[in-house]
Formats: sequence, structure tokens, C-alpha cells
Amino acid sequence: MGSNHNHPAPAAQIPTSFGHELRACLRCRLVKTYDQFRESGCENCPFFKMEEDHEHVVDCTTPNFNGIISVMDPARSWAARWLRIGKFVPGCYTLAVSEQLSEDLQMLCQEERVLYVPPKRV
Amino acid sequence: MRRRRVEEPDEIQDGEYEEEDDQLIDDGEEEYYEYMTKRGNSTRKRSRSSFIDDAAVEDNEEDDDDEDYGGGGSRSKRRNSRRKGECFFETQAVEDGDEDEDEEEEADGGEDFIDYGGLELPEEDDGRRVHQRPLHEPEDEYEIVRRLEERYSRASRRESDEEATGIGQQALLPSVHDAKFWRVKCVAGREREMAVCLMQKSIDRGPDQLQITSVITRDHLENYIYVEAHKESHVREACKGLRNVYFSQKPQLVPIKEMTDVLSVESKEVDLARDTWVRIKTGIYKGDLAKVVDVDNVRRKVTVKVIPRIDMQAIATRLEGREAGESRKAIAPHPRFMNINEARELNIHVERKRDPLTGDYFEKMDGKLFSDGFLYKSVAMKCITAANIRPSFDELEKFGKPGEHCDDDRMISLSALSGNRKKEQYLKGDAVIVLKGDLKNLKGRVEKVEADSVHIRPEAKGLPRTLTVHEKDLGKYFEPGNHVKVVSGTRKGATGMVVKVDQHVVIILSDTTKEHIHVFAGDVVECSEVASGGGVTKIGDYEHRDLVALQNGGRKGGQGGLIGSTIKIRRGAFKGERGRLIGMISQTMWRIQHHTVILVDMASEVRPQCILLGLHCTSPMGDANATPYQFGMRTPMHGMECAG
Repeated sequence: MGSNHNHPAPAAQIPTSFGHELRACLRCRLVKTYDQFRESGCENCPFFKMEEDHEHVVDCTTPNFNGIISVMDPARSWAARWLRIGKFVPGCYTLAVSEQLSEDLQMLCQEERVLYVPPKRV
Repeated sequence: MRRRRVEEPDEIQDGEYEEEDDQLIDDGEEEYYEYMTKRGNSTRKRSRSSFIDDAAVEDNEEDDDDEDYGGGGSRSKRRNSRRKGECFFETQAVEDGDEDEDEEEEADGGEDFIDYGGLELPEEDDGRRVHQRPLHEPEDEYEIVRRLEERYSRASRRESDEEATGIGQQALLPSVHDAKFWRVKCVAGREREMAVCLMQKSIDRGPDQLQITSVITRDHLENYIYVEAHKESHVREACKGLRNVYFSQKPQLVPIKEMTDVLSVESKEVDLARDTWVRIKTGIYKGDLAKVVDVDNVRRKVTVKVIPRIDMQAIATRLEGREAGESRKAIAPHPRFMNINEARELNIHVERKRDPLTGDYFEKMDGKLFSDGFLYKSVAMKCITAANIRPSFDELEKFGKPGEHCDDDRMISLSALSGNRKKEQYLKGDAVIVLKGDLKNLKGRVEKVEADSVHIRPEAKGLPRTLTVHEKDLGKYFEPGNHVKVVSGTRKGATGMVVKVDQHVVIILSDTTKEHIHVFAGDVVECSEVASGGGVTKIGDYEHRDLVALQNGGRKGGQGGLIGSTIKIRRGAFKGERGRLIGMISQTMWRIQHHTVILVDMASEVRPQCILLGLHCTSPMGDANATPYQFGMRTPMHGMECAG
């Protein structure tokens, strides 16, 4: 595989604070603040168009998540691969989110031919 | 694009052709293939037979050719080989690439046969130009290899994605070649900050500078972060300069078998989302049902709304400076919706506040926040339990509409509220209805029950005999007119006829009490049995028709004789209610059967003194102190029988 020769994708924005404002994208589990999502959307899921409408931020992200993982090198990290975020840009992610994407948004993912895996319930 | 590796033996070549052709299609070189078919359609039939014959003839010759020519090979030879291999396969159209060369000279030879229309011609020209180029230029071996590698690498990468999802986690377990986890100590409360700091550092330094690949923090694990790196020295190097990370304790290597545990999240940890039902474990609200309003993972706290247990009087006296008789009551006040005007009347200071985050308005009184009758309080996550919460019908009813009693609304909100309930048990033959998904509103009967899914036989025609539905998409179904029995919950044992059904809630006309009772569909089964005596034929040790000896009989307050009699409560939270005294646990604790069939055991609320003071006995004698041994007077035995 020639992947090692590729230049790494630019990292996602790093969260600027750690309080209530932190939210996680329901599809890729990227963690940023509400304002950051509002400004520049989700780097892995541009089709959600969060920068266009603040409602999208509320629909596509959640403040209910558990654990943080900072991924510096998604291609080489075993943890990122295990969590299936190895194909995403470097950034801060969460281990698990509590909610599912709404059905409409799941359809959008299908149309965009991107993978969406709902959170597992034990 | 059909290139063959000239050096390999024939047998494999054939196989490769097949692969290549398949790859051709998978890789999206469909358009080339389609282009070729378009071009080739006209000429396919014509060429096929001739090529087949050619191949058969040329077969042996080709072997020799291969050996002689080794690498490279001339263009014409290549053409021949191509012809030879491909003609064995269905994709005859591909062969026509050969003919293209010929036909090019003939100026649109193939196109005479089919009229593609103006639009399509330019497209074909492009295709031809792009794909024909290699035929004219002498091809370098290395070019071939490079292109093939590109093609295969793309395919395998995509496959590994899909495989990983398909196979599941088993394939992704860590190996000895993967980086390791090192558990590093850090200042409590700063774990997330450190993870983000390291991320920033990695970005600042540039790719591959900080030789760590990830940093993990767990909400429940204070003081530690996990760093993923091949060597401990990399970890130390990366954390150099970070004040909140320290190496007084050596970084601990996490054993391979425990690596996945670092990343696993208990589903119940994440379950504390907004609107989940929880029960409070400590304090005066212990055991009370509450609804999560907000979750703060950083401080490990949740804000919940709960029915307030407030003693206004005590607050008023306290605020006025007077000392309350008992500074803290042993028993919590009865749950009652907050009426803010009451507080104002008692001159307790009430402040109106606005929550900046949600924009909702709250009334603040005595340091507590109230809204819409509920108390909003912040509790630690440790004091909350979210597992197996099974709110009883009455609890949900109370929660649903504080104060109002609009029947329809209540039904709907109750159905929605019951979402958190445990699994329902389905028995073969149960009538069910599909609640979600494409098959919504389909009725059927249960055929077979499995762990998560249920097989049902649908009533509608035109459907397969049995369908498999996930158990959470299914609900029990009852038609008005069905005779049913309640098998769990507070109404257990009651039987009756279904009057109305609404999603999860069923209204039944009880056989015995002739009143409407609301129960969850999950607690009810179809049954022709009719309950006798209100379904309560056994209380404690006593059963219907048991012979008993009266105790505490006689004069002492007439208490013994009261058992079985209806009493009216004059004080306390149940003031004004009537119930039947069915037992005495002690002189000061009585058990009263309230008309809703809850065995109320509220000694605090129903102090015998309160009752005796204003005793109103509806026994025929009308005199509380009369001896119980008079003719016509109700005795416990007699009373029990009529307890329904």
C-alpha cells in the first residue's frame, strides 16, 4: 500500500474549552465545542453542513459522550483502528456517544455513501 | 486496460485475465468496459467465432512465443496474446479493443451499425483517446507494474474497510506489532486537558515528530491518562514540559489482553442521557423516580427533575427566625407538586431566574430551583441509578401531567414515558402489533420467541407465513372486548375486559371493582379467568376462609374490633381518604387498604391517634367503641371476604 507516502490530512480543530460546550459528532465522534462546529462544521462529515445552520449542530452532535481520545496519527494508531476512526483526520474524539443519528440523517449518510455505525447497546 | 504479465505461465495468465476483468468492473472502469461494448456490439457477433477459432489454433504456438519473448514483448505479440486470452471469456466485447485499432484506420467503421446520436460521439472519442494512448506508445514494464499496484492497492484498501466492519472486532485485536498503551500519572481533574494539550503539541511540532499515536482519558478514571506509543522513552519525550503530567510513578505498560478494556465503554455509563428515568439513591428523595434534564460528565453530576418533598411550613418558620420544633424531620414530606403561590403566601422569598443555557424560567426558593411544579436538583452520578428502572404506572401518571387531567394527553404521554421499561415477555399465541419500522401497525400472533427477536404470524394476507421482528419494535395488542388478566405491576391479579387500547396503555374494566384501571400492555395477558373477591384472597398469613382468632379484641380503644372496618383518615397526607383497616403491625402502625388496592403502610401518615380522634366508622353499629362481638357487626373474617 502506498499510504505511507501520502501527506497526512490536516488535523481537525482542537477543542478550545472543556466544559459544557463540548459536543461530539454523532457519526465520526469528533469532539469540539458548539461554537467550533458552528464555525467550521465537522471535518470528517462536511455533508452535515453544520456551518450553515445552527440546528444542524444540535441534530448532528451531542453533549452526552464518554471518554476522550486524542488521535495524532490515525493511520498508525491501533486504538483508532479498533474504534474505527482510523480513516478520519487527526483530532480529539470520544470513545462512545449516547444517541443515534436521526433516521433522516442516517439516510443522508447512505446517500453520501459514508459509513454510519449506531452506538452499541449491551 | 488489459495488460498481462508476460513472464508468467499460461495457466496463471488465464486466471489473471479473469481477475483483471473482474477488477476492471469493480474498479469503476465500467465506463471503459461499457464503451467497449458499445463499440463492440455491432461487431461482436461477427468477430466472436473467428476469434475463437484463432485461439484454438494459436494455443500451442503461444506457449513457444512466451518462452522466447520473456519480458517486454512487441506490440503485435501483445495484441495476439490479448486476443488469445480474452476470447475464452464472456467479455467478448473487451476483445474488440483489437478491432478498434483496425477500425480506426477505417474511419468510424463500427459506428455505421449503430447510430449513437450526436451526444454520444464526443464521449466515445474521449474514451478512445484516453484508452488508446497506451497502445500507440511503447509501454514500459514499470509503468504496467505501477498501474497495477495502484489499482490493486485501492481495491484492497476498500476491502479491508468493509471486511473490518463485516468481520467485527475480532480481526482488529492488538498484535505485538502495534504500539502499546502506557498508563501515565497526571493531576486529578486535568486528564482531558492533558489529552488536548498533547494533541496541540503534536500539531505544532509537525507530523511524525511526537512519536505517540494517541492519548486516551476515561471519565471514571481520575489521575491517569493512557498514551499509545512503541516505547516508554517516546512517552516521556512527548510529555516533557507538561506541568500536569508527572513521572514520579513510572509509566505502567498495559498488558495486550487488557488493551481493549481501556477503550470499552459500559453502555450504562452512556445511558445517562437527557430524559432518561433514574432513581435517586440517597437523601430524602431516596427511591423516588426522577428524569434527567442535564448531564455534566466533567463534574460527574446530573440535573434531574423530581416531584418535590417540601414542607413549606418548616421553611417559613426557619426563615422567620423561629426555631422549628424538630430541626430535621425523621420522615420526608409527602411528594407534592410545588405551588409557588403557597410559598409567597407564607412570605417565603421567591426569586424568578432564567437559565442562560436553555432560556427556561425557574423559581428559586430556599436555595432550590422549581419549574412547572417540579424540583430541579443537581445530584452526583453516584447517587443515581439508571439500570432497570421500571416506573410504575402511578409514578408515570404523576410525572406526566402535574395538576392537569386531560385524559387523552395523559394517555399519550404515558405511552411515551413507558419507553424505558424492561423487556416484555411474549408467549406463544400472544396477539401483538408492530410499533415501529416499515411494518408498523401490522397485527399478528407470536409464533416463536428468541433472545432479541420474535417470530410472528401476521394476519394480513400476502405476507410470508412468519416474520421476524425485533422485540423492541413490538408491543402487545388487545382489542376492546378481550378479557384479560393483569400479571405484574401494582394491579397484579386483577381481571377485566379491555375497554380501550393506546400504544402501551390498556384500560380495563375490572371484573370485581367495576372501575376502570390503567395498566401497561406488558403487564397484561389474555385470559378467560375471572378474578374473585377483587383478586386479593390472601393478605399476609391470612387467606380467604381461614379461621382466625381475634386479638386485641375488646375494649382497648376498640382497635381489635376495627379490623375490617372502613375508616376515614382525618390527618396527614391521606386526609379525607377512606380505607379499610386490614391489619395491625403494632399499636402504632396500621395497615390500611386504600381503594386503589395499594397496601398502604404509612405509619407516619396514619397515626392511630389521628384516626381515633376523628374516627368515623361505617360499620352498622356506628360506634367505634362497641364490642365487636355483636350480631351483625363486621368481623375480620367477614370483612376480609368483602374486601373486594
